[in-house]
Amino acid sequence: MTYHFSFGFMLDYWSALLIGLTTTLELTLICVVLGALLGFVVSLMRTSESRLIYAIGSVYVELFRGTPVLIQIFWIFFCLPIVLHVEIGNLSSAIIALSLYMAAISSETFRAAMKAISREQHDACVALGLAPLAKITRVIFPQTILRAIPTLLSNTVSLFKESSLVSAVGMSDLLYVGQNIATRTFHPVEILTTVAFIYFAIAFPLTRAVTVVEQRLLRKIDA
Amino acid sequence: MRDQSFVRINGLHKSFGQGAVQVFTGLDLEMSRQDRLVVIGPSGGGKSTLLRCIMGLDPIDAGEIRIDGKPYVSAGEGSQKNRIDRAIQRQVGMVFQHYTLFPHLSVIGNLILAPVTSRGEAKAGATQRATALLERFGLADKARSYPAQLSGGQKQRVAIARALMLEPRLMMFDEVTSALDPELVVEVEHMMVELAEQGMPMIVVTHDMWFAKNIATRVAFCAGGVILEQGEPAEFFSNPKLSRTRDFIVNVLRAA
Amino acid sequence: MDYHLNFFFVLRDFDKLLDGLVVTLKLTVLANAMGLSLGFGVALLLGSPVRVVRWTATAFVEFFRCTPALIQIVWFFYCVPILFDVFLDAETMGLLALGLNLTAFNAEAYRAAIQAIPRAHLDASIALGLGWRARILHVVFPQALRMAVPVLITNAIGCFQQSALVALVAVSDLMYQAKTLSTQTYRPIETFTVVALIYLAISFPISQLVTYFERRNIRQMGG
Repeated sequence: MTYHFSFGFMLDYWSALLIGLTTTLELTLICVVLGALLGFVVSLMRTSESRLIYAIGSVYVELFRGTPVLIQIFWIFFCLPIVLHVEIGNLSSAIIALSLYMAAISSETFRAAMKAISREQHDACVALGLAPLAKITRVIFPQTILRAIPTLLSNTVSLFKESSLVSAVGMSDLLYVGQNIATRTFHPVEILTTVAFIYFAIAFPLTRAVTVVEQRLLRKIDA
Repeated sequence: MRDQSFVRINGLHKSFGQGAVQVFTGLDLEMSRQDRLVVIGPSGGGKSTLLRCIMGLDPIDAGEIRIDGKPYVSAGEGSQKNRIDRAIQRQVGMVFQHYTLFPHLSVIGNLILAPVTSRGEAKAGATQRATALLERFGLADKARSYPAQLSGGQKQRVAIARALMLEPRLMMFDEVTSALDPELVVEVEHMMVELAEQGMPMIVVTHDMWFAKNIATRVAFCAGGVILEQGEPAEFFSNPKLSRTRDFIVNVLRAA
Repeated sequence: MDYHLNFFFVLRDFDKLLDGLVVTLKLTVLANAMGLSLGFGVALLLGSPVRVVRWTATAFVEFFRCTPALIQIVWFFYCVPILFDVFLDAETMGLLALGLNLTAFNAEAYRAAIQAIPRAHLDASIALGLGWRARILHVVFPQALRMAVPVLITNAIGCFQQSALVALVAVSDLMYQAKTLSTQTYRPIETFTVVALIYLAISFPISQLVTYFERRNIRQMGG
């Protein structure tokens, strides 16, 4: 190997990387919240008796799960403004694209969580004469959320990783900043490796946390 | 002499999968207010389904269920859904084999949920009643516990208490001790015996022959979708009329 | 803005898109060949009694699972030539990155499947005097494979969609052709929509296969 590593110069650029990281984290956080909310609505749609509502929900989910996230981002960035006849800023486009993606994957999570609620819970609600609204809000919804949390955490990690794709449309996230610095300083190895480690340092603990959370929750719920 | 029928089932027909699996082929059953009816029979004979139909959980194809002479569950004509009198349904309580306590609520929470949200009862009043009920059955110290912290026997007793909160006129128990470790069965049956002594009419599906012999006022043998035989326990167990009944009793007692 | 949908431009150059699709499929198939075979090997390493082996394998898997695929691809593209003085073409680099990424995810899938094999089977095979190699070949591998199939197929679909990322390092796959065509014809909506549908047309049927296998698994693995 004839490459001489030099990490010293990186101290000059750490603030730029920090800004990039902040953008990535903010984007992830906003889209997780928006996406999860929308995802819950979509999962409810897929339990609907109305065939139209069910179809809309299913088509939406299959569309976003069956196409590359990159194309989704490109479409929102380049095609949506044309379709809607409005200008959409970089940040807004990114939020729309990633939230829609998060909604699709989290709706599957909620759906599985709802299915995991045993039939006998539903029977108990009938036997107790529980009103339908009370049943949904006090029995189904809380248990769905609790059961969904571990997988939602996992979805969040996925979203965090996919967020790096916004660098491809010129948004200044962590990867974009990193690539920028790499080209400018001709030290791609150090920079890109560092950027990779930053992503890792955040995603890895979260992934481990999923297992811990899952065990704690299962102990509390599965009586 | 037995007073007028409390629960009367006439000509119950039910199948699953649009006629693919026949569960009931014209089942008749009667029960008076003083009765504690125990239903026994082989697995898949329809015992649990019978309770579920009475509870209104599964639809019936034909026939009628009346309580106190009033129509309760009637089969719809043609493809129409069953007509269920909701007021009467609210007076029937049921406890299931697998606890089905709501795991995210405390014991007290489980007990007051239905009264507060669906019967317009004030939370304070419901909590008071719930606490009194728990005390009556020796569960007061578990009021704030969560289902995951309770033993199987305690969970079932809480489930019974939860059903009692609705002040039912008829209680149904679907194999409530079948999933319990043997030493926990006693505490649950003790509670059921107390209820029986307080005059609660009940229909009990169970494999526990002790209960059938000692607590029941009538025993019914349900197999092949009909009540093949029924009678008072003493008579029923010592002198079963059908050989099929006899075989079943012998096998179950041997296994006990 | 006046925009009239006109698919003619897309259809006229459809053969270019097909060329891109061929590249995409080639990458996917080869990456899967790598991921399916190496993945099992790594999964075995994950269970090795030798600590160093186990930790190295874990580090490999966790690193590829907890960092964005895009950065893996970019890293391979820019850093490997510099570090190792090798100059492979962009397609091979992309293939390596995709393949190793898939290997990591598949290793995790295999590992979970192996762990799910009931202990009783392993005990029985020892009791029957099966050697280490025979045990792996005839007991562990077939059962692990069957349990892992749904996840492996899902990962394969994911790889297919992730391959779109190599377009960002100038590999002429379907996504790259889409980008080029959309800029050339000034028709982003038609181009990206058609390409998205192409991805969907391949992903969706295969994902239905997963459902089929999952149902079959439930039926067959009753014991």
